[in-house]
Amino acid sequence: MELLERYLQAVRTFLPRKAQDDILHELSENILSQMDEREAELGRRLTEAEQEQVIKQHGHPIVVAARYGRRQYLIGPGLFPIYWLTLKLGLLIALALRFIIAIVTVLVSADPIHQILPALLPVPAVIVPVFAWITGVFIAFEYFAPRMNLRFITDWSPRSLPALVKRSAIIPRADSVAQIIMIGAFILWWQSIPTAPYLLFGPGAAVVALAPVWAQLHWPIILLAVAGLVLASVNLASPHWTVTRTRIRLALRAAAFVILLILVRAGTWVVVADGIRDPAQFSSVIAIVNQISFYGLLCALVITGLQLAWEGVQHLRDPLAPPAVQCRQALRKS
Amino acid sequence: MNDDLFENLRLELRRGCLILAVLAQLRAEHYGYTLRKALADDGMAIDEGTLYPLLRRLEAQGLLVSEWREQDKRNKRFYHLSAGGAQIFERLLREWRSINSSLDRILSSGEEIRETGAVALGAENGNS
Repeated sequence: MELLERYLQAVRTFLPRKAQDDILHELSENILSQMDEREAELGRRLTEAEQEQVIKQHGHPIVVAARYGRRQYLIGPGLFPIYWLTLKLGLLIALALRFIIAIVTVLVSADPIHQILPALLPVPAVIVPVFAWITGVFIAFEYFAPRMNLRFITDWSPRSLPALVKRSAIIPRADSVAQIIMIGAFILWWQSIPTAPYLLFGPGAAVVALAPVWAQLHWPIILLAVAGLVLASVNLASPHWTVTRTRIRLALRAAAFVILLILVRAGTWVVVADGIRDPAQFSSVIAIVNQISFYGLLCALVITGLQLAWEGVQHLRDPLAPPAVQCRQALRKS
Repeated sequence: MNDDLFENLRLELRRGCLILAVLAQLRAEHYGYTLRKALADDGMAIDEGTLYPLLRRLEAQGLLVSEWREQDKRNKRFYHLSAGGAQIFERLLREWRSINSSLDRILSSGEEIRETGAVALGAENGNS
């Protein structure tokens, strides 16, 4: 019966210490009874292969021992949906916050271009601690919940739930995440341009440089982008338009319009780079780039102005309708 | 995929019934091995790895009582329903019968609807 003893020894390893002897005694007796009956049927002693077969039917030692455990799960099916939702939200918010911190770190550094990678690389590392903390809290909650007086589970009313949100006012979280990534990338790029103009002009950076108006508007543009980033982060955490947020969005669009207006009125957007011996040699190139810039900025100004006017009028009509939806609804009606 | 899905649903359906079957068998005394055989003979096969931990859990919940006793020169743990277990078993049995009769009603009304639908469809085809 060496096989049986080896099996029981293996099961013992994974059993709770207090119940080991009792469980193994019972398990051993049941296996022996099964073997006795098989021997009675065959009219002879079992071979080692037949003994192995009987033992194997009971299952792998780890599986057998695990079934004697008091708890077969860390977070039960009742709590799991709340855990899953909290985990997804927690990870999204933590990643967004960590990304914003990385951007701020780059903004305040003296050498932004060389700070981008060191600031961005640690961002995904936030996933592990957030996962561990949320999971740990829910495991503890699952364990202690039966002993806690969880009034919010029993004493609740539909009246205490959040106010009704229009389906059309819901902001897809994927949109907010995409906005955070795009605006973040823009801020990093824009902040790097003064020290690394080749990121804008490529090889032409040796000849062309930005006109002084861009330096004057550098921080207003950054501030506007950061405000957009914060708005997208708030939308990620609470994914529906409110009157306040719709107004903030309108205000941001108005600020963008003002910045574009100042830019269009500047008249010159690129100049010959410092250190060029004969600037006149490049005057026609500069004139062409300035002309293209003018048309580009004018288009952006007109589009932003029309959007601002349209959304402003729609907002006055129905303050709760979000700007993008107002546009879609109006297009559908027409 | 369909086989896996069926197997999952079948196990889910059986899980609650198994407890009822074990409690029912333990109105008479059994030790683990004979209990498993008795269940299998009545068409409710259950593997050892599920049955023995289940017995311990039901005992810890006070539904069963057990004692070690010698039989055929071997010590065996015999289980039977406790007084509290017998009461719970009666209540569970009533619940199970109620579920069964509800399900029968639902299934028979479903069959009636199907038959009525088939008759109506037949009449419609006959008219056209």
